[in-house]
Amino acid sequence: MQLKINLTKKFVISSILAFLVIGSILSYIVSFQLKEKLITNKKNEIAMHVADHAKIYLPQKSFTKPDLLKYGADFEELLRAIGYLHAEKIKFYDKTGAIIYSDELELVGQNHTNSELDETFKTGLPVAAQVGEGKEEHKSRSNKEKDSKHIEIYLPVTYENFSSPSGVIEVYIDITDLFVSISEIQKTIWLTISLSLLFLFVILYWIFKKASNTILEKNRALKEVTKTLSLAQDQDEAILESMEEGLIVINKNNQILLYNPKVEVITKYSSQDVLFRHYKNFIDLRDKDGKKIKENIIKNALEKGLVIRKSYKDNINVKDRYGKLIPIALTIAPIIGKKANIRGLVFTIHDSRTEKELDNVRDEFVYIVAHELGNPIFAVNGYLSMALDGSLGKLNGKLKESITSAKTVNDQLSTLVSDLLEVIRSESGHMQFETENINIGDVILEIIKNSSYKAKKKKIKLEYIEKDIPLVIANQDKVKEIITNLVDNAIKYSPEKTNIKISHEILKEGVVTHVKDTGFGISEKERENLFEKFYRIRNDETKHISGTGLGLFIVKTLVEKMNGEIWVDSKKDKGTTFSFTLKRSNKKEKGNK
Amino acid sequence: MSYKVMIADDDPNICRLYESAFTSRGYTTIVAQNGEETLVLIEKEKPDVVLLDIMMPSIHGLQVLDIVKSDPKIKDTKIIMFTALSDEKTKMEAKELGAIDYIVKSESSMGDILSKVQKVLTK
Repeated sequence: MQLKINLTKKFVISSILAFLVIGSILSYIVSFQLKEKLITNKKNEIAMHVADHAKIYLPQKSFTKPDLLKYGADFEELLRAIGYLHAEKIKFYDKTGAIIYSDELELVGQNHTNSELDETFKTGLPVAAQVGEGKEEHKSRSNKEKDSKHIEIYLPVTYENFSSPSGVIEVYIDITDLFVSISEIQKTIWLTISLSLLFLFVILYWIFKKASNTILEKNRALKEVTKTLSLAQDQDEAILESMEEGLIVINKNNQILLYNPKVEVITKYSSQDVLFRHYKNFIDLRDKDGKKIKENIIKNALEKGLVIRKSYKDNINVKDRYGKLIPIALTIAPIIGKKANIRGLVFTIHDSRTEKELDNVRDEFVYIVAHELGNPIFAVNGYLSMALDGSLGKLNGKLKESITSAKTVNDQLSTLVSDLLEVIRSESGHMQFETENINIGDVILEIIKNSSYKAKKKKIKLEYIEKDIPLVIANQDKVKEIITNLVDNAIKYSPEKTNIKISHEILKEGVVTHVKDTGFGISEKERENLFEKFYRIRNDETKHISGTGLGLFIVKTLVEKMNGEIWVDSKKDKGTTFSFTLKRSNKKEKGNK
Repeated sequence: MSYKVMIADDDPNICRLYESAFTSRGYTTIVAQNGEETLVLIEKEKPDVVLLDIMMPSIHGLQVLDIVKSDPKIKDTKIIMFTALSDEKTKMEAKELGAIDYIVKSESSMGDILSKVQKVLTK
């Protein structure tokens, strides 16, 4: 509001001053021009009349002093004739500047000269001079005369056959009326200009009011925006300061524009050290051995605009100010401008030292479990196998039965340990394997061969419906693990004298493998948790069947690791079908020929 | 002349078991219970095949493998890794370092192990 008052006050004062100055100048110019014009008109009018009458009443000759005697009457006639002009005084000059006639008889014969007279003789044109403009002759006049306005007009009398004026008539005319008229007109002009300016002022004031309202609105909006921006800035600062992730922004000229406190903690450089400097000295990416990372990921991100994500498991480290390697997880995202141009990069850096330490602890645990549990189980298994195959001497029936049971239990323990290790590895992201183009048919044939003993024991028929299967992208050992697990489950959970069928369905993108049994079946409720860790179906049919509850969890993890899906269809007492997909290879070679 | 099989494992039970299993099948056996001993005996006894455990004291099995494969005098020794570790990373590392095969103890029966050794020896 204060701003509005100030603006209005300033506008009104400056407008009034400007209008006063402009109005005065305009009035003066117009009045001056008008006055000049009217006087010139008057002069010309008088000149024309005097010249016309001079031609009538005066002889056509150059006049000299003696002419007064000869032509005095003619001058009298002339004066009478032009009397309507209200000439108060009249003089007639000959070429020498002598007055040869005057209504003031005492002046006759005197010689007068002034610039106007000279100019009239010289140019042959009438010349006017307003009385009071420095003319000594009239300074002694009465006050009344001084108040009145007069004009002296010097009029050449030139005849057709004469090249220069024959004489000059000077008339002294009262033009007070003319000045009164001029004054009236000036007043009108003043009034008109003042009214016009006032009108203009009103219009301008109105425009100003509207504009100032708009400006005030915008000013208010701007203040709001500034306030919001300030809040946003404070928020940004608070976010950047409290972030658990390091944040760096670089521009396309590789200069660091932002380096938040967390990065300072990670790299030990302060933002003052790095701002507006080239990033390469302050984002020094190294592998686990401290060697520079060959792939220039930052340059690639900046040139190609790719989003790059690296986990600490990719062995990415940043070298701090003192040369220490800090394991990090790194995301690099391009800043894309409106014209789809890359304007810079945003780095999000996560300090992965804690994860790395946890990983080390986990690795140590896996190592201990594998070594301290796995080795004894393995040794026991070996001795039991040797006992059973007779290498350690002949066994009687009861002993053989007991050792067989011990071996079964030991096998279960061995499976549990290896499953546990696999689960730990999968959950820590350490389950890493490579994939290639494999022939799944060959894998299944091998599994059927290996499982035939178990199947035969329960008089179960293992059937494989082979098809012309394309190659799939998978890890052969892991596919073997998946199918072995599914087939073993099918044998375990099927009654004797049933069938297990393995078949394929070939899709555009992948190959589906079905393992179908005609066993006990799984209820809908049980199916919900079937792929969960340690989940086991517990009912009358399964209570005597051993298992860890980890097999299907591992199978699902492995399938998904190879970009596949797994699902189950089942009907209670009718049987179960486990199905999983694997991606098809682009290679044309067929799996089964 | 019988094949000379070396069992390098820090677990004396496993050493004893496989020593007995191989001996009963007519092989000559050598036993080492840590990395250092393994290296010494490989150079001295020149075994035809080594069943090499990974998790061993003093020198780790993969380090033993690396040293053997870098030493011109013994680099042709056939080495089968024989371990409780079943992760792909370790398998890949062993393969890259020059192991001829990889046996995961929990995934293999004694029969599997004996036939793998036989296969490697007759290659």
